[in-house]
Parts: sequence; structure tokens; C-alpha cells
Amino acid sequence: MSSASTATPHDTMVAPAARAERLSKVYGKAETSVVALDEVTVAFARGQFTAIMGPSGSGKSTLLHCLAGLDSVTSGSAFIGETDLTNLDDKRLTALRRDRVGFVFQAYNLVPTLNALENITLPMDLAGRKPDQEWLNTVIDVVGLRDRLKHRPTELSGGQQQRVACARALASRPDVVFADEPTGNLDSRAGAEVLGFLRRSVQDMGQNVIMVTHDPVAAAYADRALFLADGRIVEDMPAPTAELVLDHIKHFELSTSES
Amino acid sequence: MFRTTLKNALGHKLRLLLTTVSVVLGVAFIVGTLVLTDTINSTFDRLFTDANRNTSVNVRARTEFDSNRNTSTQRAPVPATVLSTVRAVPGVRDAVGNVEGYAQVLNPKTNKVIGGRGAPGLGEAWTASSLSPLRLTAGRGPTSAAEVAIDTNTAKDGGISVGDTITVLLKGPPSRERVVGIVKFGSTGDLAGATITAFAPSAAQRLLGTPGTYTSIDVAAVGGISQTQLRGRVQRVLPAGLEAITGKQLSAENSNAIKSALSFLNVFLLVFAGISLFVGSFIIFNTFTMLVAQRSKEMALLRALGASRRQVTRSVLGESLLVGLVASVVGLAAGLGVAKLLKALFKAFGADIPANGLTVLPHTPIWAFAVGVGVTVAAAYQPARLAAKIPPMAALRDDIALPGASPKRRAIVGGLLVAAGVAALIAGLAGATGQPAALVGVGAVAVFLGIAALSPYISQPIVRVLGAPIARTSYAGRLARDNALRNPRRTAATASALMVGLALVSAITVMSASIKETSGRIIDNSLGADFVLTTSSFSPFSRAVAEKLNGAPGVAAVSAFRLGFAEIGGSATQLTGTDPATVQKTVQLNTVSGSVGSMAKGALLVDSKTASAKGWRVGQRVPVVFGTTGRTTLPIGGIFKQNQLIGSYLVSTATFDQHFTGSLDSVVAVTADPNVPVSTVRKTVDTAAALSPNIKVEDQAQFKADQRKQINQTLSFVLVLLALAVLIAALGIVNTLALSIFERTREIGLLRAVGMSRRQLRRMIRLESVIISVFGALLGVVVGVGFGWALVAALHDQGITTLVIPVPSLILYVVLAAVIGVLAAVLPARRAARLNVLTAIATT
Repeated sequence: MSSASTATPHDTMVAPAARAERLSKVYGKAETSVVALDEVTVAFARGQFTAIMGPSGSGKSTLLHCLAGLDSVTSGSAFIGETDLTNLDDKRLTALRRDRVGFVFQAYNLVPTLNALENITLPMDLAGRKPDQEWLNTVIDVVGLRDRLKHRPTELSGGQQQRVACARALASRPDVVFADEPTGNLDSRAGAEVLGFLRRSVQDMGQNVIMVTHDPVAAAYADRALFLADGRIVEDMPAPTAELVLDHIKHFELSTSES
Repeated sequence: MFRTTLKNALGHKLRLLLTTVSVVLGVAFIVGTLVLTDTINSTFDRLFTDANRNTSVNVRARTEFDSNRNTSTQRAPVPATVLSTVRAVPGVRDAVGNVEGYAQVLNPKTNKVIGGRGAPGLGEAWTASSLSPLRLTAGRGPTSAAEVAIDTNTAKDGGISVGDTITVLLKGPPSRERVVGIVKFGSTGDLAGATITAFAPSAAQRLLGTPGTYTSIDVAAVGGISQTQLRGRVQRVLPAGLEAITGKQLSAENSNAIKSALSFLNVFLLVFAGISLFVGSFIIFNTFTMLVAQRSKEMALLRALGASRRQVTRSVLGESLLVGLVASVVGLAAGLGVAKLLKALFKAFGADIPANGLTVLPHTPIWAFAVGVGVTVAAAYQPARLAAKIPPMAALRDDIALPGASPKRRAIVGGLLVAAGVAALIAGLAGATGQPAALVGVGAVAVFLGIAALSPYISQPIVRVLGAPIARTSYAGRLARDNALRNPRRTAATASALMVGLALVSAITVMSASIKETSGRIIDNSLGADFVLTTSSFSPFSRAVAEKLNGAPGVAAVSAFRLGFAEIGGSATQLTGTDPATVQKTVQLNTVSGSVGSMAKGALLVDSKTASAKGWRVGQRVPVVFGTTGRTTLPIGGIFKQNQLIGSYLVSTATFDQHFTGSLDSVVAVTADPNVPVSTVRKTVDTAAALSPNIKVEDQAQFKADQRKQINQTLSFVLVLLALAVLIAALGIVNTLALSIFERTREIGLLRAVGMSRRQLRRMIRLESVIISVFGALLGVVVGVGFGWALVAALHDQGITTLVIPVPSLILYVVLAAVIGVLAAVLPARRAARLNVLTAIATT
């Protein structure tokens, strides 16, 4: 599971949704440099909800950003489908983010001048494409926002705003949805709603979601949990539960404090 | 708190720079104006000090018409016999008779006048006495007729040396003179553009003045006798009608006359400096409002930690004080450059201003700091008060709405300001008070402030309409429109700065278009002659031209017009002298009552408007005071319909010459014999005019074209000066965009993350800028057309009866505003496009 498959470019069904190959990210130069990612190789299969976990500074967010084409890599490669992001210029990266990737950030996900529906269709509007109306309707119904579509972000609760962000991330049927601490700013009930929605999008709609979180409860919604420490993947946990994750964290903290 | 202020100011260098620049430009304009006028003043002060250095006492004719405020008035000559009387007074070391008149040297190579361009061509009597400011540098002084000495500058400009024969233009026919000497004026030779031709005393009296008289007498005292002492002694021996004044007083009078003539220039330029600062204050206001909004969280935190309201207000005012100080210092330095630029600008428009070096008087830095700091702090005052109103609780909230004046109050205040401004404008333009110009200015400022206050309400619907086509073209355009709509007050304040600039530009354009449209008709309705002879700047020229044309073949009628100043019916005014026999053939002079012929019997003609204003009727005698001949009364012989070419008062040449000595013709109008081909007459006129090479001969069509050209030139001069205000407004747009992009960093990061390309981002910012600019321009054009209409209405009595709205020009201004918008967005858009997506999103 943790190694990249050798799919042919034509055989997209077999190809993972995203993968990293010996991906390294170094900040700063020479003596002051900090290694955020150290030759990480990982693949994310289709139809899966993956949680990336790890303590602060472990490189989990950096991995997400590099995979999503938001950050440049120092060496190695990051792929969305069969597209190597390291070969793309800003223009193509922008188009890729717009057409093939969906984002949910921790906060400030919505453009305040646009209403909920306009925020959902924003990537397609930027591309000058008409949204697939049937799919859009499905997404809106799943997030349960039908009666809030004409509202501006300031008129929505935090949980509703994050649901709009999720709907936007899914509306263009991206290859992968990246979520960076999507419940970090929400209370547990609103957080559960958002996570439930992400879960359903994978289960019922066949989407691929990669989420960074530090919350064991959030990780429990995922099919798989990756644990990072010091820029490396230290554990790959299938079917995580909150207890398993907590155990891992405790164990890991003990082992690091002992060493 | 001061440390926080300083840190804040230095933390955002670009912001500080842009805010500062708007103040710097205004201050620099003020400093430039003051330095330029002070330099001119000091140039003349030096000139008169040089000229009167050895003069203890000056003897001249008394005048009842105080010339202090008017250099055009004249005094009667002093009889030559007085000179020996004065010389006999004990304590007099030396006394010389001055003869001053018109003399202008022609360049022997180009046959064009040397000097000119507004500065006088002076003719003088030569004397070797130390009382004369002239010193020989080559050759000898002129001793007989047909000999002259010329000043060093004239000799240099004309390539003239001792022994050459030159043509000198005089009030009579031009004369050929041999140059026997070159003289230097004072210690520097600087004549501020004027030229001097010195003649032998008797030749001077004959050619420049009246034989047997002097213009005045200069007296030098023996050592140990004060100017006042000697003045008393000289005054006692003078015949009635003459007065003695001290040399000091003479210099002061000379300087004051120049200074009061220049004060117009000073006020004119300071008005533009004021406009720039006014526009700049919108930008400062806007910037500080945005700064307070952006820092409201920080301020709330400071409040929560125990800072008092006053401390918060002070920290914002402190930053504005800092900006004001920096801007004043930079503006002061830049002002010296502006002074040079202004001088060059005047020169480019045909007025060479005499100013050597740069004179910086103490009042210049005082004004620079007072105005620079004052305007900045005043503009930041309201934002600073807003800052203090931020509740400490705001520190804990996520989104902060800045408290502000209630919309209702804003609307009421704005409406009242506009109403009061319009009322003041109308009253000012109607000349209701003694200070109509000031009233018009205050009215315009009130209208601008009122509209700026109302513009947030106007902006919503207009920006929606303006943005509609832009929003349809691209998604970036749609976002741009939404951004322009999201903060109506900010959009309005930014647009208001441009509104002020464009309103003034449009008003001036409407007014000059209307004047241009009417000027042709005014000439048709007032001029009957086929040819008009004038010089540029209407400087008078030799009478010999009209005399030569009188009775020439093919010429049906010639009228020479002489201009002088007198006090008529209690007010100082211009008076025209012309020939009653021919005037009706050259000018359309329609009498309402009385007759034109009455002028021949010494009567005064008055135009109908003046007559009705003063309540005068034909036959009545009105009091007149002349500079030369004093108080008298003249009967009104006729009342004529207003005529723009003649002015309000008209007398015969004979009457005119009785009261003004040595006057020259300012305009000569010639009507051709209809039986002779016009081209033949033109040749005759051209030949006569060649006597004075600075004369322009124009037929009616050329005369009209020339008038239009002058209007165009004035228009472009004013537009150049107004361009500064527009430039400052453009900087304001840059500043607002830069700040609002800074404010929206996270949003921009988000847009980029979800797939907005750099190009789309740049376009979005550019279009937002264009929407704001075009909104400001439209507002300005509408207000400007209103102002223009009011100005034209006020000029109705002057014959400007048609309101012309030059739609193509106004459309061009709006298009230019859009271009300004595009340019203003270049830097902010580039900065926004360069933002790193991740750091932008991470910004809090």
C-alpha cells in the first residue's frame, strides 16, 4: 500500500489518485536549513479517505501542500493522477488546482463578496466552465445547504461555511480533495457534520479525500491514517479508530521522550 | 505609545511613501510658488536698489490718482527749469533730470525686437553722474542726436558693438542710431528682461518725452545730510504741483508696484497648490481610515490592555504627524525644483519670468510645515477619533465593523454642504459680496465635500451600472465589480479625489469652449474693420504706424486705440482713446443715446451696463481723476451698447492726449476701401506695420483664430497646472488599491489556491481600479459641467451667451481616467500576483 504502483498512463483505473515519490522539502539554505520532508514515498488510492497525522513540525501540512501543487518541492516528485507537478509552471499548476484538485482550509475558505452558491461554483467560474448541474445538485443536497445558497459567508455559521467549502471542493469532481485541518475551528458537533460529509463523499460519491488533522476523532472517519514525524512516514494505519490513533500517539510520544 | 507609532509607520514603507507623496506634491507646489514669487520680488528689489542707490531725494509731479497699486498711471512731467532750483539747495551734491520713455532696439540680423516678452523697452537720458545706475563698459556716452548707448544684455543678444548703426523703435517713427557706448546696469547688469537705450539729454526729451521737461529729478546729498533732511529742504523750494520724496520711499514704491502686480500670479499659483492639497487630503483621510480599520484589532487589544481612548487617538495622530513632517521636509526640497519647473512652464507658454537664483525666505519653510503637517493631521483627525471608538471587546471578535457616522447624518450633512456650496457659488458668481472669488472658492470646496459625503450612496447604483458590462466580459471583471461595491465609503473617498480634479478640468473646458464659441460672434458684433494691428501681450507700439496708414491709398478708415488708467466716478478703470471721426467705420459702436460725435467736443462715452449701474445719463458730468492732470469732470456725450473690443469708457484721442503724455497705440483697426482689392490694401498695411516689427497684422478670420488660439493656450496652461491634482488623485488610487490588497491577502491566497491565474488576478485588480476611476471621473465631469454652466452664466454680461458642452473632450477625460485606473493598478496588481499562495492563506 505504501509504495507507488507501476500503472501505465492509460490504465487510470489502477493509477492512484495522488502519490509522492522520494519527495523532499527543505526550507532555508545550508546550515540553517530545515528538512520538512525527507524522501517521502507514498500513494493514495482512489475511493479512499486518508488522514495525515503527526505532531507540529512533522511535515504533515507540507506533504499536503506539495501534493496539492501549492508548494514547490526540493527534490523528488508529486503526482496528481499521472501528472508530475514538479514539471508544471505556475499557469499549469493554477489550472490543475482549479480543475483537478479541491481544497478545504482550516479557516477563511470563502470569498466574502460571493454568496454560498457562487463560492461553490467559483473554480468552474474561474475556468469559464458550466458546472455539471446534476452533480452540483447532488453535492448541495449532501451538504444540506439548499436553503442557504443565496446567503453571504458572513450570514452563515462556521460549520455551514466549512460545508460550503467542502461543496466547492467537490463541485468540480476533482481527482483529489485536500483538507487542511478542516474542523480545526469548529465545535465538535459542526466538526462531526463536516467529517461525516467528507466520509460520505468518499463512500457514496467515490471521491478521494486526503485530510491533515491532529484530532484522533477526526482521523477515525478516515479509511487510513498516515503518521509523520520529522519529515518521514512512521506508520501507515489502515481503518483507524480514535483509540488506535490515541494509542499510537501515546506510544510514539513515549518512545520519542525516552530516546 | 510613541514607539508603537514609529514602528507602525516604518513597518509599512510603501504605504508611508504613497501617503507621503500626496502631501509632498502639494507642499512642493506651495513652496515652489512662494520661492518663485519671492525670487521675482528679490530680483526687482535688487534692481530698484541698484537703480536708486545714490538717490537721496526724488522730485516728481504730484498725482491725485495714487499710482501705488497701478504701474500704468502716469505723472505730469517736471519743468526743466526746476533742475537748477534744486541744484541750488544747500546740501545737494548733484542733481540730474531723468527722461524715461519707450525705446526698443531691433536686432540688426533678424530685424526683430530685442527683449520684449512683457518686459519693457526703456529709453533714458544719458548722464555720467553717479546718480545714474548706468556705467560705461565700452565706448563713450551719447552726446548728440543720432547717438545712443545700449545695455550689455541688449548688445549681447543682438550681437551689437560700438560703431554699429541700429534701428530703435520709439513712440514716433523708428529712428536709425549709431551705438557709441555699451552700458552696464547697476552692479550685476541684470535688468529682469528689460532693455535700456540711453540718448543724449536733449534727444531723449525730444524722442522719449516732451522737450523742456523731465520725467523726474534725482538728487544726491552731500555727506552727513540725511535723506529726510534733504527732502524737507528740496520740498520748500519746489513750485506747486511738485513733490520731493526720499530715495528709500522711491525704491519701496517701485518694489510695491511690482509686488502688487505679482500678487495676482502668487494667488493664481497658490490656488492650484491649494487644489492639490485638497485632493491630497482626501487620500490622507482615506489612507488613515483604512489603516485604522486594518489595525482595529491591535487597537482593541491596546484598549483591552488599558490604553485610554485618548492614547489610541494620539497614536494615530502621531503617525499622521510623522507623515506630515516627513512630507514637509521632502516637499520643501522638492519645491525648489518646482519653482524652476514653474518658471520653465511660464517660459514655454510665452511669459519669461525674471527670476535669478532661488530666494528662500523664512516664511517658505514655515508655510511648508504649517500646511504639510496641518493638512495631514487634520485629514487624519476623524480616522483617529474612529480608532478611539473601537471597543476593547473587538479584540476578541473575528470580524470588525468600524464604527462610523450614521448614514443618515452623513446624508444630511452632505446634502446641506452641497446646498450651501451651490448657494455660495451662485452668490459669488453674481458678485454679491466684496470677495466674490473667495466665495466661489468656498462654495466649490463645500460642494466637493458634500458630494464626497454623499458619494457612498451614489456609488452603489452607478458602480453597479458601470460594472455590469465589465462583469459580463469575464469572471475577473465580475469579482472586480463586487470588490468595488464591497466598501462604498472607500470607493467613494478614492473616487472623490479624482472627482475634484476632473470637475475642475471639466469646468474649465466647458467655460473655454463656451468662450471660444462666442468669441467669433463677439468679434463679428463688435469689429467692423478688415485688419487689426496688435502686438503680442498687447504691449503698445509706435504711433507712426497709424499715422502712416491714415490716408494711404485703399485705406478707408484707420482707428488707433490708446489705453490708459484713470479714476472715473470713484473707481480706477481703463479708459480708451480713439478718433471719433473714424471709430464707427472700424468698430461697431451702437449708441443707445447721445452721439459718438460728442467725443470730438471733449465728452466721455460710457457703455450701457456701466451707465445703468452708475445711474448716469447723457449730459451729466462725472468726476474723473487723471494721474497727470488731476481732478476734473467730463460730460457724458453718449451711451453705447457694450462692446468687448472697446471697454467701458471712451474719449477722443485729443482728450486722451491732454491727460496722458507720450501714450502709444495699443490697437490699430483698419477698414479697407471696398473698391480696392483686399490683397492690395493688405500690402499697404503690412508695409506700414513693418515700421514696428513686433506688430501682427490680422484680418478678421485671423484675428478670430488668434483669439481662439489664446483661449486654447490659457486652457492648456491651466490644464497643465490641474494635471498635478489629477496625478495626486491617481496616487490615491494606487494607495487605496495597495492597502485593500494588503487587507485582502488571505482572500487573494484563497482565490489563487482554488484556481485563479495570475493573469485573472491582475485583471481583477485592474478592472476594480478602472471602475473606481471611471466612477470618479463621471462624478467629476457631471459636477464640472455644473460648475462650468455656472461660470458661463456669470459671464453672460460679457457676451458669453452660449453654453457649449464639449462632449468629445469630456468623453476623452473619462477615457483618460480609465487609463489612469489601468496605470494605477499596475504596481498593486503585480504585488498581488506575486503573493505566495501559502503565505497569503496563512496570513491572519
